[in-house]
Amino acid sequence: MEEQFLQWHEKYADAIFRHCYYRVFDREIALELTQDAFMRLWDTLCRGQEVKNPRALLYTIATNLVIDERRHAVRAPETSLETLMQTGYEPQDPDQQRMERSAEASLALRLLQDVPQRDREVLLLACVDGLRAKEIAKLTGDTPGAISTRLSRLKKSLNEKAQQLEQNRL
Amino acid sequence: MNIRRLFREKMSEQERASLRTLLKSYVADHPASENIPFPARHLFYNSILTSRPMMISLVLAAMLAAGGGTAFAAEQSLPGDTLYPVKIHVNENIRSALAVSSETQAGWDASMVERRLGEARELALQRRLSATSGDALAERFTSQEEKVQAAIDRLNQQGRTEVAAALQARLEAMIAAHQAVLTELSTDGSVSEETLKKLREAMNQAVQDHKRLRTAIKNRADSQEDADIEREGSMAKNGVENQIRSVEKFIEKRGDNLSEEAKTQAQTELETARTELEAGNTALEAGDKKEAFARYHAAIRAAHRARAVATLNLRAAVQTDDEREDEESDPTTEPEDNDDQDESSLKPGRRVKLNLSLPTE
Repeated sequence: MEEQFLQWHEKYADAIFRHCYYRVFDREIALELTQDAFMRLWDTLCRGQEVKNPRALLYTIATNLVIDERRHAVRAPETSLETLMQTGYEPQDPDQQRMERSAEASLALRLLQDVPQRDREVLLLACVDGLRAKEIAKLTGDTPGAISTRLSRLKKSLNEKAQQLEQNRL
Repeated sequence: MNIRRLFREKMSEQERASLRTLLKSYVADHPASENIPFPARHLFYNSILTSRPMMISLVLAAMLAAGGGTAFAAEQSLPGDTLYPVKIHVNENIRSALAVSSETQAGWDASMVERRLGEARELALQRRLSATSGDALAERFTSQEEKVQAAIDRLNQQGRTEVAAALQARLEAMIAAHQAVLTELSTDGSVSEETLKKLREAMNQAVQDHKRLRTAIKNRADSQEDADIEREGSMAKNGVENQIRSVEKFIEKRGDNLSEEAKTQAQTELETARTELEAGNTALEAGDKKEAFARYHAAIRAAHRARAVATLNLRAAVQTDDEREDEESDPTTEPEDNDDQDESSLKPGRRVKLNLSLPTE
């Protein structure tokens, strides 16, 4: 069981980390939540519960952890997304070789700034978690068609905003 | 621009390796047969990966886990033993360094409080507890106890009432159990009340502090929003169920090493825990989440009391295997009931009848 569990870690750790990171926008917290998610998966296994779909379970656990984290952020606003945007977010990244990804993270945050919460979640489910419109529709209660349309509109809007930001920078 | 490409953040190799190591350690600490899920957050400091002292601590921790030499031997040491400084200044610091989240740190701090109490009890059982070692233990106990209390306060204020309550219940039960043990040992002359004076004061103060903490946790729980209570209540319910199962397994496995009295007392506390759990479930079904939460907390306190009784009685019994062999070879020998025994016949680690009447609510 331990071997299987560690294989699941190898397979899904990055995806779960990404799932958390783009929702809490704090690397340390995202790593922490990732760790927690796997620990809770282990706890579930130890309770003798059959886990047919570890990926789905991990996502569920991670989502709940993110929700908890957001609730705490409301009480401690210094790490909320809104506060990060107001104070200026610079991803802490001591590794020089990851500068490019850090810049992308900054851009991602700025682009998400104007996206309403509901749309933001749809976007993250598609772009971060890799879900298809049909799968997102099941989660949100919308139709697949509505999700596809919304995603198409969002990506177009973000592209325009990214180009605008690029022009302003130049 | 491909928007998806913006969202490709991932863990570094170092972070992945560290997570793997921590998960392996978690799995080792929580084997499938004795799992008690502890809803803990573990903060993942980058400094662990970049700070040399921290890396050294991790290496030493790996050596400790592998059972290497001095560090491992030091774990069994008591105040006054040569290796005791290694235990408290090296081993415990290493373990503390690994506890990188507030909850894990608080849990480890609580373990250190238990270690101090356990050391006092072991020394008293061996008739080695002096005023000097007692006072030193009292001081360390107070310092570590204050640290845990502050952590419980913080967790409570952050709304993590289930975690705070579980820690508080564990410590309260352990302190009460050790108070009872030391009273028993004082009564039978193993240790004088004068020697125990500072320890008693420290433990009494801790008992008062825990009453305050319990009230604070209850008040916080009562003031929480419905969604938070529901989440915390659900975690509390899981925590209680797992704790009850864990204690049941413990008693089942070690039943032969427990006196009938201890077994009965532990079972009584477990029954209280089960009753409170049922009451909590009933309240939850009726939609009274606050009442459910309160009942789950009462249940976890009872479960911790059961564990404290079983654990302390087990250690006392295990210490006296030699004594038991003597008794069995001569059925007329009943050292613990023989009032005419003189000092020379009392060996370290003799059987002590532990009558742990732990305070309830």
